[in-house]
Amino acid sequence: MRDVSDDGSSEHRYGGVFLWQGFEHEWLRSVLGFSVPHRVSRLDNYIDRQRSEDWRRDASADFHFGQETGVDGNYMQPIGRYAALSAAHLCAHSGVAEFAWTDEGEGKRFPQARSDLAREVHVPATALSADMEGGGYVAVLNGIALRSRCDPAKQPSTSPGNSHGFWPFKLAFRVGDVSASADGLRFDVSAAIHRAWTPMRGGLPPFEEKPFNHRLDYELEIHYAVLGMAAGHLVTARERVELSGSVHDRRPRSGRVTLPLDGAAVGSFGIAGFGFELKRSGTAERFGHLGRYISGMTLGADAAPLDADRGVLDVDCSLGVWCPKTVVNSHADYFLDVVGIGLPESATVLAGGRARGKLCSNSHGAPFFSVWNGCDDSERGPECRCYTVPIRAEFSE
Amino acid sequence: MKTKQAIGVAERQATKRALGLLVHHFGYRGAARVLGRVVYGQLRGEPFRRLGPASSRRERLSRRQCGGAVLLDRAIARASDADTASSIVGEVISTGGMEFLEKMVPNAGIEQMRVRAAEVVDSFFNAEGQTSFDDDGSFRFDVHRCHFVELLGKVDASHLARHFCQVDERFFTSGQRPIQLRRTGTIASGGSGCDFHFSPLGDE
Repeated sequence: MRDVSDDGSSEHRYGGVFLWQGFEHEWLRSVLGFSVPHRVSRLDNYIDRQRSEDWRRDASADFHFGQETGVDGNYMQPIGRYAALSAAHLCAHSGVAEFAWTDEGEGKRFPQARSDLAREVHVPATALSADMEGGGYVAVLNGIALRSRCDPAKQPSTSPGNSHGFWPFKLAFRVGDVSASADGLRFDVSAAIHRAWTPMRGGLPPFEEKPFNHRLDYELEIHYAVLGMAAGHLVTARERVELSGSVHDRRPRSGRVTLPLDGAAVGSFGIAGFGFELKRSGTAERFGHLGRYISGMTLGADAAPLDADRGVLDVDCSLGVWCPKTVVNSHADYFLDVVGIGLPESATVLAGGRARGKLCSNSHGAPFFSVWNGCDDSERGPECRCYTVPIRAEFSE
Repeated sequence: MKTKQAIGVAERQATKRALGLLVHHFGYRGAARVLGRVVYGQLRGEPFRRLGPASSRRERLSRRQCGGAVLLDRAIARASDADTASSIVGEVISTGGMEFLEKMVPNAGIEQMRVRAAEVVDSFFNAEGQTSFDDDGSFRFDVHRCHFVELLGKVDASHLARHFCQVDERFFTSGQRPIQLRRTGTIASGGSGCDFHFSPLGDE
């Protein structure tokens, strides 16, 4: 799927920006000491409504969280990572690339449904500051919001759906490099959402099997920001970090990338892409089903302050998808596209920001033995599938 | 016989997929127009009419497998644009190709595949090359000639060749068989050959 769209619902600002730096989502309910994993039917983690009267003083924005279990109940306290920049003459333009589609399962032995999406975004020249002509530009993600729905009318009568969720084996989201021309800026946004059955066909055959939804309806928002500055003031470097592990690794994998930002006095980073892919990791027939119930996902990074003497920014990445031992193990490949952003001495960087949300879902349609209605006023919080945290940056004392 | 059956099944699946995608993009009337152009082209012996008769069984089967994709690509590009055509044709080739490989590649581990390597690679009529066996249990199929690439080049449809390459990659990286494929280059992407390197999976 590929098309071109003019950047419609968007906002632009001058003087500063919040940078999205990844997330940690983990279901916290356990039964008999085992974490309860789930399909994915919703995954929101993004920043929007960035606002300030004067970016030299302070600014605020909203950090959004969302995740749903599908059928069973559970709760989490998701974390969003961010940094804030204040820099004179920095132009930041935010927007959302929206996709809506229906996928379709293919294959008899190992059914899978794959969605590969791409779109070119056009930011018209009118949205940019007049003094940005000939400037440097870079695009980064502000996060994503993904929803899936199972429409019973779209399933074969022999295999009705029982959940809006899916068992992912590949999720990937990216923004590409920016090309500037007289009519504005252009860059690609792309996503891959691949799903499959689990090795145990969603349950524990022959006692229980859950159907592989033949078709799912999706809505995806890819939130992005384009940063620009007059020529020579913005230094950028893009690198990909690739790590591998097993989904039974409780701790995310760590990797460091050193970004050359020569000539910059201060710096931070944004994320231009992230994702994971689960691989077949056994010869037995069941390993051909690549989907998994997921307990946790950590896909993000932190950076030390820019080393201006060496002209480099060290970024430490944490990448992992975690499943408990009750889920068949799988090899997993992860990637993170990191974009270093170097700025002049007059700029201010507030690094290491963390926003924490609170999500809780009671069981809806679960079998009697797994019903859980634990959402309340305790630490789990009331039933809440999306949560917004205001975030704030104080640049001047 | 097995090859022709596999092609038949793949063609049916690809047609079904094409129909769904065309209706989604162009509505029933638009889809009928596009398919009408494809059928008309096939009846006229296109897209390979001017090349004369196929010189071998391999070429004849290769023409059958990639000819429909060329006509579909042309018909969609006429109704819409080249990007849309490439995107739809890529999905159709993927569906048909996955079905073809499902029928042709034995559901076996690397040991069995090594035993049947000659038989398996021979069923891929579009590719000519050599098999060899490594001491670590893996085996290689080094392709030096691809009929798809040659035929598509002759009818100005080289841009479709990569879709056929992607099917192999998708099939073997999506867990359909308990073996791994590593390939560092393809003829379609300008290389001198396609180096298929099949190796065992690690058991859990």
